[in-house]
Amino acid sequence: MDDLWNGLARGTALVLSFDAYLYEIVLRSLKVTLSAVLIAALIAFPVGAWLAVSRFRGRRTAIAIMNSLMGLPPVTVGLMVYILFSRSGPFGVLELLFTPATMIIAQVIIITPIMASIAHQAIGDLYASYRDLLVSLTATRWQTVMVLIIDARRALLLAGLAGFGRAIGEVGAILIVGGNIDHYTRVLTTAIVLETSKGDFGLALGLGGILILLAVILNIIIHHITSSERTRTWSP
Amino acid sequence: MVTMSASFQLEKIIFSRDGRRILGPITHSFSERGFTLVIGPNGAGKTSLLRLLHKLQEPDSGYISLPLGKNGVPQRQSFVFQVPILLHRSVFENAAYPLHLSRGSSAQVREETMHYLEMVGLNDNHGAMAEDLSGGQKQLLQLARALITRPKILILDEPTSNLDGRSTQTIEALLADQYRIDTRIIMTTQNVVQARRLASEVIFIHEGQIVESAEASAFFDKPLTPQASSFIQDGIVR
Repeated sequence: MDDLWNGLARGTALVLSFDAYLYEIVLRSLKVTLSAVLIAALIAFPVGAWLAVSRFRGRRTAIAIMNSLMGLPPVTVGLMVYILFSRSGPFGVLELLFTPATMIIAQVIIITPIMASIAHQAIGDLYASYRDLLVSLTATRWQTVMVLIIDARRALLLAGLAGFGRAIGEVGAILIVGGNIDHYTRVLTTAIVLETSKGDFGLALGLGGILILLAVILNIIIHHITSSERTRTWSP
Repeated sequence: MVTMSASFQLEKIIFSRDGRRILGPITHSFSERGFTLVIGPNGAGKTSLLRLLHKLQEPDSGYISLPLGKNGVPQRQSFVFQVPILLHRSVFENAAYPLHLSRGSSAQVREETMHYLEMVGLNDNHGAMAEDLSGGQKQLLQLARALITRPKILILDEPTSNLDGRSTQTIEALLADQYRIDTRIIMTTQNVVQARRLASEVIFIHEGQIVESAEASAFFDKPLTPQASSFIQDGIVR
């Protein structure tokens, strides 16, 4: 129990003293995760919208696959990305293994299905109410997808936050593909793993505290968005 | 088979939903001009008929040819839904949306949109969210959005069914204006009195069949079928 209290005290001190090492890690975490969320959004939202508005053979299968990919074990994703980007792998020439780039790639693979699935659900609901109007106005497929993405932006923001929440706390994949290299690929979660194994609970708890703080901030934002959604059906 | 014509032609149209036949078989030629009121009791197939004309759904069998313009392309249609379908956006954005689709946004689009909003009396509400409008205002907004593309054909599905007298009057006046500038209007209603006020031609539908179709004065003065005459009398088909 002493470890916990001592650790908490040291962690708080580190946070309050704006410890350079700590903030470097936090900043890198945010950079990697936000990049991953942004890239995943660019893939997931059009895909979700497309699945919502198109009727093609195999659509149900595609949706089922997308939904089951939500449960991809991060460690397995890490392993696969590792193999693909290792020197002998097909993308080995790019020499991206153990760089923040592969960490972003792994996170994109992990969170894209979640974000696409939420987007598909939200956009599908909106399409059900807009469909007749869009057909009547002879909107093109592209215009249809665009108006749905724009008007479902609140739900899509939630999808982004869900992806962010999953990615920022993820450790299995990025530890494998990033390698937890000091000042280069070390992020919050991999640092916690390292400090814990070294027995430096102070730093580990400081990092863990910040991770929790990020999660709380995230939840406050989600709560704010969803509650304003409830009181008003929509707003600008 | 596509035939050149200036009016809607229905050829042995059958339409069903969930295995139940809603319409047909119907073979009918619409007149080229006029203000056609499609009347009939609930569930007669009025809405389905309009949706087929507007290509919102396809018939199970049969063929519908659309009115073609001089250049051989189908004439521009607009549709007004019974339950307003509005974007989750402002009044202005809703009215401007058809123009945004075809021409993007520009100062001219803005000007035109305001003109049509003024025409339906919603110019003061242009910044409000469409959802916050009253039922009558929503229907007026739908009408502005329908008219902004200057359609040759205007199709309306019971546009005044849930509205009070004043809103109904406003909409009827706007429709009369459209009729005057030679817009082809096809509209459903359950309200026989409204049909009398507006129609140049009446199509009476019952149980998925066109029972009677005639010029308005002839239809109301001398209905040919007992079903039509009882519907004219008290809105019930015996």
